This record gives sequence, structure tokens and C-alpha cells, in this order.
Amino acid sequence: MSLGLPGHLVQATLSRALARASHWFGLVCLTGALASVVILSLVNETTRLGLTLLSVLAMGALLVLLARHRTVPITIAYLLLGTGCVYLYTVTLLGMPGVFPASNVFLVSLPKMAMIMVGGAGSSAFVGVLWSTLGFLLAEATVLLAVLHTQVPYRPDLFTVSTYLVLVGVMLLDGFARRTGRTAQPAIHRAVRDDYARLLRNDFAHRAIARMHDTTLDQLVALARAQPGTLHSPMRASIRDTLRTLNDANWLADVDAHAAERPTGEDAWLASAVYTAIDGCRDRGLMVEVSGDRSALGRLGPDADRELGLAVRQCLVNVIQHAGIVAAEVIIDADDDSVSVMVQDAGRGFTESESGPDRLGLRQSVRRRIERLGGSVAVLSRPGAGTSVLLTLPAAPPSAAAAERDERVAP
Amino acid sequence: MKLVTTRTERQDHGPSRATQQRLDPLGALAAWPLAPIMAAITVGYAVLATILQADQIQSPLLAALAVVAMAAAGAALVAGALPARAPFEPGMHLLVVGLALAAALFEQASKWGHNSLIQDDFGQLGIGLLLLALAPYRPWRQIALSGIIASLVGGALALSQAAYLSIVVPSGVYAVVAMTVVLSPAAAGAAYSRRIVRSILAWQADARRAGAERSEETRGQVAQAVVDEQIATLRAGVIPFLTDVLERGAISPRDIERAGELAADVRRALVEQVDSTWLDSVVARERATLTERGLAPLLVVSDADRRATAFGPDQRAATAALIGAICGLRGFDPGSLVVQVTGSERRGLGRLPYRAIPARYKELVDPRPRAPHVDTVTVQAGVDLHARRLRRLLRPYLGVLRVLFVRVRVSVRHPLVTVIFDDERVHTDPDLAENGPPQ
Repeated sequence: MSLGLPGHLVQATLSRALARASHWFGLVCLTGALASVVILSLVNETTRLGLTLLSVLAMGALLVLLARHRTVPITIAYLLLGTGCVYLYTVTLLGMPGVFPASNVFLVSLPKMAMIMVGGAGSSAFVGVLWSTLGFLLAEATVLLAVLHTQVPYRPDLFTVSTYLVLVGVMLLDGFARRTGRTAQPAIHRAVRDDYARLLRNDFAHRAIARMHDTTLDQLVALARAQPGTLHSPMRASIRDTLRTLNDANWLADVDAHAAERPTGEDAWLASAVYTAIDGCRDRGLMVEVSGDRSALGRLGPDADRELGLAVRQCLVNVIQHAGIVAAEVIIDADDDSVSVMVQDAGRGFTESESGPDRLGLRQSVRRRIERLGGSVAVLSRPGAGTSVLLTLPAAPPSAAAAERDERVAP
Repeated sequence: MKLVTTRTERQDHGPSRATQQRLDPLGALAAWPLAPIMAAITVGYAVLATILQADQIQSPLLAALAVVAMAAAGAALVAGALPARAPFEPGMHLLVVGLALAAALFEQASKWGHNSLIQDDFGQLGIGLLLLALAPYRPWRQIALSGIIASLVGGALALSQAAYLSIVVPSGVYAVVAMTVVLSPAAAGAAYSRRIVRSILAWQADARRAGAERSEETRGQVAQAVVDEQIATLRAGVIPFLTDVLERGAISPRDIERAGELAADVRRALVEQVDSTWLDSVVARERATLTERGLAPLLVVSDADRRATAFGPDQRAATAALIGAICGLRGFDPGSLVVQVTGSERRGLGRLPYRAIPARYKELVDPRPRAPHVDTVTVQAGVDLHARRLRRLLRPYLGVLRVLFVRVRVSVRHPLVTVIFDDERVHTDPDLAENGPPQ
């Protein structure tokens, strides 16, 4: 939902991720060091073995602590303890008679590399570089000192140097490279925010358009088809109703207050918006036959009930206006997680692809309305073979709906 | 129930499978130079080590093969990480690891019985460094798993050479050395990938919450604005007309004619609004910005089938950002932008689950899964800028598009710049997946 990190978080996030990476690198090195000392001590005589093991373990523990709480005191403690550990470890390892030819063996580098991986307690990569450099210098100096106390010659250690260079390179690269993509990221975040706003607006706009279609357009079409003369009373009532709807400031209110209490059983059917829609179209002369599980409509929430009613109304108005027939059938069906209503007629039918922009009602007042609530609409129609529109809406399972009602009845 | 999944929705959700590249494409773009640098270090060291340890090599052919395999692994890393090829595919990951492992095997075989030190072998080190370089592109579990497998192979190889090595220590120590060389960078890579993905996901959750709160706050305001806008168009014609008819209580032939005209007007306006998509609003916004700057913009959207409506939120945002960036370029010709969406045939019937279709209609619906649906977006504009500069300015936006769309192509033929990208969706019927095809 939101592409990329905003500029102000980039440095801190990257620094945390790099610190985490270097801590893991260090932990693996320390584990390797511990395993080597243990294995070596099995066959070689060693002095201060226990102390060495303890210091490696303590260094590992401090590194874990550092990974969890990146604070300056823990970082300093880690570096100090690390220095002691590197000394003990190097002396123990290189003190084994006749095993290692020089100081530049990989095993000796392990705790040194863990020292470099101190990763930094600061919030920027550059502070991290400073801490790592400090770790590197301390580790190298300590090994130099330790080697003086053993018989093996000192050789420059390429492992630690190259690890240090790679780490510093990565930290600096991340620090610099981020600065190039700066202009694009805010633009993309703005686009994400705009999209949010557009989504909300479109949702309202589509509902408003559906409502407009239901009221204004139907009213105008009815007037255009009327006979000249005095207005008969249903027409008068319907114009008054349209004007009232248009002047109502609260068009897009989410929940109708009067729909909060939902009756059950046959009452649910009579109280449903689908019933109201069918009733209204019967008044306009359409014969509507209803079959199926009518009480299932009581499982719909107020919003779903209202929108389904308006969609069914539009389907029936389509029958009146386009099907060339005065009868329709409404079949209500339900399963555990959905309620569906099929509006069928045996009229002209049509082919979806051949119908023009005239199909606004089906598209806007039916399809989008139902899809907005997570439902689906299928139009099954062929020229000459009638039309069936199947509206399916998700609904609470029958038991859950009943329980919810009980709760409302007896609070 | 969702029948259509977009490519982005299908891929890599959840912290264990997400990657920095998918969640923060610009971050991965910024980290891109690391891939060639790591590849160069790996290959450079392989060549250097082979030359310096020439006295240990028994089979020059195998030694050469080892270097070639490591170079190929490095090349695969660079090719997979190329911004123009984003996102980094799992196949490339396997190729990188496979080639690097092959290099390690060839190297040990070439020095069989004469390898004096494990610590200076380039095979294990190369695998470790390449796995580290995968961090911005691959999920942490896959990096960690690759590291574990490669370290076991490395450890086994070291053990098998134990008898011939120059430093005499228990063979377990050789295995520890070989494994640590692979595991430490691999663990670092995996830890980076995991940490950064978690941080980004945490930020996304916060951003989503903040966005939802903001939407909730402005909800009433937006609703009122929408209603006012619709009413304003009716105030001029429909409302006075209806009021007049109601007051007169009679309807004349002129009224009937007028009602027909008004109905046609309202219908036309509604169809126009219904048919406009987010793409139209994006372009309308750019048009307004350019007009404000005193220009006379001619920006065209061609999406007759409203294909843009199928795009996901990130895809919409990335496309909008690209269009905004092009329109904001210095040298942009305000009369030249064309955004076109074309594609394979749209779905017709059968948008609902098979289960939900009444038995008597089932025969009308073909339940077989269909071929992926492809929508192609073409954005074309005239921009009077040098091709290289233009590409550089658009690079971040293209980087984001590449993660969200497939086959992103850019061509610059002065002064025309064309960006083409595909959105691929697979139609799936969950009922079919659950129950198999209907009998």
C-alpha cells in the first residue's frame, strides 16, 4: 500500500539493518572461534583455556545485547571486553606449540572481525564507520601485542583488513547512494496519498451517481413517457419524492437510522428494502412473483439491505423499461455465507457486448453497488431468451445473525 | 470472494517471503552498485588466488573451470540485480548459488591432495560474498538456507582434504574454518534482508493506519463535496423543471420534450462520470497543474475498456507518479502526452464463483481456468532533453514500475519518450481449486 520508505526514515532504517547484519556476522565468527578453541584444546596443551572460553562467550553475550539495545555504553563495553578477548584468544591459540606458522591465520582473525562488526550505536552510517574503525584499530593493536608474547612471527592479516574495507564500503555506499533517489520518493508517496483520497471520493461519487440514476433519471424518463394533461397523483407523489431526495443533504449517510433494528422471519421480509422495491414496482404495473427463502434477507446488515433493495429496484425498472414484458420473477436463495437474489424475466434479453452506453443502470446502479459491498453480479441473458440477473452478497451465517439479534434485543 | 489476483498480490507477502526490492524499490535501486562491486571482488579474488596458488594446482583445466564458474556466478548476480531486469527472480538466485558451488567443487578438485590451506580458497569466500550481495533482492530465509547448504558442502570438502593440509590441527577445525567463511557473510545478508523487510512492513502498517484515520476524518467532508457537485449540475436544469411541473400540476407536450432532453443530458453526464477512471483523474490533475503554469496542455487518455480499473493501489500510485514526473520534466511538450491502455480480451460472464451460479445456468459458464489476462499501458510524450539525462531522471520511477508490472520497456527517440509496461493477472476460480472441475 505504500511504496518504499520516506526520506526521514531511510537513514535510521538502513543503519539498523546494517547493524543487525554486522552483529550476525560477528556472532557467526565468535561461534567459529569458540568451536575452534574447544576442538584445539582437546589435542593441544593450553593455558588459560577456561578464561579464553569465558571471554569469547561473554563477548558473544554482549554482542547479542548490543543487537537488541544499540546504546553507546554497551558499544564501549563490547569494545573493551572484545579487546581483552582478542588478547586472550590470540595468546591461547598462537601459544599452542608448533601448530600455527604465523599470526595471519583465519582462526586468529575471527574475534577481530567480530570486533569490527560492532556496527555502531549511532543513527547514521558514518557514525557506524567510526565505531568499526575504532574496533579495527583496537583489534589489530591487541593482536600485535599478543603476538609479542608468543613464538610465532607477526604477519599482516588480510582477512580482517578486507572485511573492514568491505563493511566500510557498504556503509558509505548506503550513506551516499540514498541521496540520489531523493526527489522520486516523495513524488511516489504523494501519489499513494492521492490515490487514497481519490478512492474515497470515487466511492462516494459512484454511490451518488447510482442514487442520481435511481431518482432523477427515472423520474425524467417517466415524465418523458407520460401523456400530456393533468398530473395524476402517483406521478405527483413521485416528483415530490424525487425533489425531497435531491434536497436531502444527507444522501450518502452510511447507515439509515431506522434500519438499525432488524426484525426476523416473515417480518424481516416485509421490512427489507427488497420488499419495498418490489412493492414500488408493483405499483408501476409490473407483476412480480417472489419465491425462495425470504427470511434470509434478515441476515443482511442495514447497509447491504438498502443497497440490495436499490439494486433489485433497478433490475425491475430495467424489466419495465427494456424487456417488453410486464412480469418478472424474484428468487431469493441463501447458503451459509451469502444471500442471493435472482431477478428473472422472459422478455427480449440482450447481449452484453452489444448494448451501448444505455446500460448505465445495470453497470452503475446494480453492478458497482453490489461489488462495493463485496458481492458479485452475474447477468445471464440472450436475445429472445429473457434475462436473469443474479445478485450475491456476503452475509453472516444464520446462527451468527440470530445471536447478534438476540444480543441487541437483550442487552 | 476474489477471482482475479494481480501479479503483485500473488507475490511475496508476509515478512518471511518479502524482499527489500519489492517493498522499497528505490532502496534496492540505490543499493544496486553493491552487486557489481561484490561480483568484481569475488571474481578478482578467484583469479588472484588461482595465480598465487599455481603451485598447488594439479589440473589446470579444472582450475580454469573453477574460475569460469565463479565468473559466471558473478555475472548471474549482476544480471539478476540489473535495475532493468528487476525484480530478482528465484531462478537467478539458484543459478548464482549453483555456479558458485560448482566453482568451489572445481577448485577443490583442481588442487586435490595438494591444497595447503583452506582459508585462502576462493570457492567458499565467493559463495559467502555472493550470498551477502543478494540481501536487498531475496527473502532472508532463502539466503539463510543457501548459506547453510553451501557451508555444509564447504565443510565436507574441507574434511575430505584434511589429510593433505599444511597446518596440522584436528579435522573439525578445517570444517569450522570452511563453514565460517561461508556462513558469516550469508548470515549477515539474511539478517539485513529480514531486518529491513520488517522495518518497511512496520512502517507500512503505520502509514496505512494513519491513512485510514485521515480518510475517516475527511469522510463527511468528501461526501458533502460530492453531493454538492452533483446537485450543482441539477440546480441549473432538473430541479427547477420538476418544481415547475409540480407547481403547475399539469404536463404539456413541451414538458415531455424537455424531460426527454434533460434525461439525455443527465444520462450523458452520468455515463461520462461512470466511465472515467483513476487514470482520467490523474491526467486531469496534471492538466490543471500545467494550465496553472500558463500552458495549454493537450493530454490524452485512451482506455475505452476501462482496463485501468483493474490495477491495484500500488500500481495506480506508481503509474500516477510516472505521469506526474514526465509532465514535470523541463522540456516537456504540454501538447504531447498520450496514455493508452490496451490488452487481451476482457472477461465477460462468469465473474462469480462457480458454486454461486444456479444449476440451470452452469452450462453457460466455462469453468476452465483462462490464460493470464494482460493489460498494456503505453505512456508517450515529447520531451526536449538529452536521452541519457531523460533516462536518468526517469530511472527511479521505472525502478518502481518494474517491481509492480512485467515487461517494462523504455525507448527514447528524440524528442519522443515511450514507456510501455504490462500488467498480468491470472484468473482463478477458487471453487475449482477446492473441489476440482464440476462433474
